[in-house]
Amino acid sequence: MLRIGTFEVLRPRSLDEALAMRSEYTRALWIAGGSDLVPKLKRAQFAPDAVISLAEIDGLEGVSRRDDTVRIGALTRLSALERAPEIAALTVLREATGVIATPIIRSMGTVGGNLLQDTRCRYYDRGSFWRESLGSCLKIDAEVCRVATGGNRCFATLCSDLAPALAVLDATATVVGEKGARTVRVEELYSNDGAAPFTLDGDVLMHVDVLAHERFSRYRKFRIRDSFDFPEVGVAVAIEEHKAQLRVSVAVTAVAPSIPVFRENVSRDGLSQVEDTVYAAIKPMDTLFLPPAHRKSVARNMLRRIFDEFRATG
Amino acid sequence: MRMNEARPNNGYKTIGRRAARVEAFTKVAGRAVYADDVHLPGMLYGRLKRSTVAHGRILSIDTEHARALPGVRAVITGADLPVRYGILPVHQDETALAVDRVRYLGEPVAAVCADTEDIAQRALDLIDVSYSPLECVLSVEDAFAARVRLHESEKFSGNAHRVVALEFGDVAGTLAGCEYTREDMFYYAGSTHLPMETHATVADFTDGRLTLIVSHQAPYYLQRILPKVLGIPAHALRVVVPYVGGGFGGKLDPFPDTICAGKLSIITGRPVKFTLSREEVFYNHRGRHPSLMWIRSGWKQGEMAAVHFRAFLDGGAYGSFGTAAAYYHGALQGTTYRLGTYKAEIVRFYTNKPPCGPKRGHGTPQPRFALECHIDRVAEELGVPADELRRKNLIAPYSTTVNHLRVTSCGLDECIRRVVDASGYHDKRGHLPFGEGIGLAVGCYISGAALPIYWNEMPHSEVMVKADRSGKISAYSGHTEIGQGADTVLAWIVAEVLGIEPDEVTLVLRDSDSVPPDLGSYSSRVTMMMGNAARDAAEKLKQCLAESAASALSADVGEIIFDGRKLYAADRERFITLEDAIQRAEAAHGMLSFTGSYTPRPKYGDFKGAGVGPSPAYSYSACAIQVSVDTDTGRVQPVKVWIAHDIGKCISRINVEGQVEGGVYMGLGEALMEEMAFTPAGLLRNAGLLDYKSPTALDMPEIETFLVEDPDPEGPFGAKEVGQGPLLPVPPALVNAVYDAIGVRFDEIPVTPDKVLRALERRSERVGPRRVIEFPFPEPVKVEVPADAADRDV
Repeated sequence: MLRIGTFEVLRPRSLDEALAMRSEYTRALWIAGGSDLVPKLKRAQFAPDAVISLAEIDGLEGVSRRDDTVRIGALTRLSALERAPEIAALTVLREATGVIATPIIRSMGTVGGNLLQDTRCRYYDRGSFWRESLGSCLKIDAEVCRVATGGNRCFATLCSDLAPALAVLDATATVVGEKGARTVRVEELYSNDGAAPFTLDGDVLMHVDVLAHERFSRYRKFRIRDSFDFPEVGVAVAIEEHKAQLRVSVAVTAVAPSIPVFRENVSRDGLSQVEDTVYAAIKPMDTLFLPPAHRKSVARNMLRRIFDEFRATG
Repeated sequence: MRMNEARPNNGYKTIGRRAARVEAFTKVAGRAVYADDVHLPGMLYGRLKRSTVAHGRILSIDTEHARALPGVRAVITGADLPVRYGILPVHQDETALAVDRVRYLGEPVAAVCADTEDIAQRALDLIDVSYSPLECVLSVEDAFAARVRLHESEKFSGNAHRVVALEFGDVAGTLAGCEYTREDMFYYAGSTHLPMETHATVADFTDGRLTLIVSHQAPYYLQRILPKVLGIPAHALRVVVPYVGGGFGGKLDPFPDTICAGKLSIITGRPVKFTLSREEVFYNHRGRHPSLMWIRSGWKQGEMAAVHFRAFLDGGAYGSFGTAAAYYHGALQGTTYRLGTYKAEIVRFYTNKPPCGPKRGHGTPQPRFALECHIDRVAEELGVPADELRRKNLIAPYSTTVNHLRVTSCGLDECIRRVVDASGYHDKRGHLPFGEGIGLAVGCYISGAALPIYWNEMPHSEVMVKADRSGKISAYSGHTEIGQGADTVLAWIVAEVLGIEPDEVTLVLRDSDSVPPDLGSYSSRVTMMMGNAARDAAEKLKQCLAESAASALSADVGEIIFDGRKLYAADRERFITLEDAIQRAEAAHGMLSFTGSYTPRPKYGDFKGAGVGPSPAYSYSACAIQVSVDTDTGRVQPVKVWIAHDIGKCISRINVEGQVEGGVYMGLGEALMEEMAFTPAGLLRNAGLLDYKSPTALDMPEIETFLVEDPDPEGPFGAKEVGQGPLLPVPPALVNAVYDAIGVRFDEIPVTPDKVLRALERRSERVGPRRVIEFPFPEPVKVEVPADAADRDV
């Protein structure tokens, strides 16, 4: 059996208490459902001095609607989100939630945990013996990156299914830290540096807000197997039509340490240009299971298929 | 998954029933004890220090800091376990801990035991090993070209571990006279077993005796090999095998964790437990050999006049079962088809990877893949439906193959007809829309290897059946239950013979101190051999009790009917109870225990290598698969599988179906996604369940299973094997279907989405190897085609 390291486990009852606790440790980590963090602790990818549970803090869990806005608490279980009537019309979000990991993990994992999951790489998500044999990697303690051996940039990849779905719905995220609360676009949670992937600096994600109105939207996830697997690439699309003009939002997951988002105003004839724009812009690296060129092709093909579906809706 | 009943259950009470297996409740309720569940007083925890380089000389191992860590009870290195061993007598090339040199990344170099797992883990970090790296050899091409030699004592050059060259009849001469010849090249990727339970051992040395409680498929071989390695007398070793959470061939070798547990327990005088992590199971491995293959066939009037087959096996760092795998590569082509002449040239190389060995199908899925894909292309070029070409060339029941194997019952023709009819193969093949296709293939497997690993003439299975004056019937057997249903086979056969219910049979199993020997759960031998021994023992008890009843009832012995714990006279009115019959017999004879034995005695050739392939009987399978290829992503989705299996006679119907479906699952995994992949430094890239892709329940298609039952004279009640055979036709049927769907011949597996999409984008007609190795095979052993090879003495 893999053994987990030694650290303090803290269970604050309020956000203020949580933030205060965090400041007392140098390597504290937040834990929500734990489905991403616990395996990584077992593989010694993190060596925290404290793990602070958010589970007993009130007000972070649940889905609610006020006026045009659906608010999704960061501690909402993925299985609860999947079933929430408030998101029934938000096809892209429903589809993305339903294909995360496995039903068991969705019962444990949370919305916040999915958005703020650690970036992934085939050379990083390994046990300590394996990494020692490799000579470690840039994301942990080595001087070199095993993916792009010439560079000093980490390409570990964000594999969240929820992030692209929320991004194309123009969702915002509210985070709170010692300096108070602030609200950013979901895609702004990510720094695009695989080694330090978040812009949060220890802040806690409280909730995500998304406009509830109905629009065409889809999520397509590509993976080897229909369960367990993280996306090898995932494409989210939302399209709003105003007269002859389309506002097209596309977000792609599992191609970078962040979520590239494309927002274009085009006519129906211009959809193929959007395909070209996205295809040219995404640059997956050899961080996951399948080769980058293939994942790039699949992203384009899935995008084309979603646009075909949109065209078929008239 | 739907199931087609083959025939009514002709006269049997238990045999062929559709009922739960005997240990079903225990397992479903979580009550079954596996090796890692065992906790003994004072138990220590063991851990293995593994090599971080794939090939290198060990310059030094410093264990001083580890020994000094409080709570560490012992540390050992290769110097403590210097005796070489190997599962096959011909290749004693392993040590439990590397001595002087490491040959694969992950090879154990030291072992520790400590009061807790955490201390044992910290101790590993304190062991300092320094290596002088050697050239790393990771493929058959590398091995052949390399200057470095993995095993300097080997007699072959080019890192060849074993070379096979056999020729039956004049292949070159026959090929020259053929109307049509064709050659193809194939590659079959290496894959691993993936049992749910990882390897685990608890060793307990006390009062001069060592007990091993171990997750293993063949404790008989541990009993045989470990006394030598551990330096204890054979009578001082007891091997207990609790329930085993899957084996598939991965728990057949003696493994370092088991040997080190024994050694550390002997040193400390305390129980020691090793339980491997999932990653470590990938380093133990002994799975499917990656195999590069070439085949040329010659045809006359649609008949297979000559087949010339070559294979290049990537064996990994040690011999393991590799010699058998090499021979099996060439052994079973002739058990499905009537080959006029046949030549097999096979070489297994050493490489710096975890050793390969037996995995479900042991050395035969690769050549079966090559042959079945090759035949699909021949059929297309000859303009004959693939099923017709196969059926025209089928081996006849009760005949002798080109390589001198004796085939008994053979239901392959019916298997093919069943799946072709049920799948609508003829209506679909070539007629489905682009992206959808159907493919066909067949396979064959042994029902137990006729020859033991260690040559002797003793029985392969022995069973004791005991009747107790309380009325209890007990069956004693040394087989292992690895999830395949062996316990059920034993209980059901004894119950059938004695006319009682299976749950009235008490099973005494798993402990070498109390059960007779059984060679183990491998080569699909258990139902055939343990089953025959069980029937033999039960029949002897039945005879004794029938005599007792006949005397009591003033009836003839031959007329006694055993039914539901009563022994009736022929009139079905007069009876005595089973208890009464037992007590009368015990009064007359003393303790009632009867032994049954089974020793296979099939006919086979007398050339070198003839010992691999003979079996009391062969099972047959045919499979049709319909696929849908996503041309956006390249993903191949099997839509439906139709599979027919010639089982001879079904003992436990649910178990048989489960084995068929399990074989389909494993075959689809190998065909679509499973592959052991390595970095250039020899580090296994996907040593975990998330990255070593194996199909999930959601990836499995509907399976329609047909059981063809034509009882075989060799099997207990006519039964043949089902554990391995149904895997064999699956990979070739899958790629033959992919060809039908998108017009691309995949001459290699796995058929991953990236390969499919690239082939579509580049409009490739074929994906597969383009060259094989110019290996200097020796002059083959020349053997005459048996005179009765073409007989159809049905």
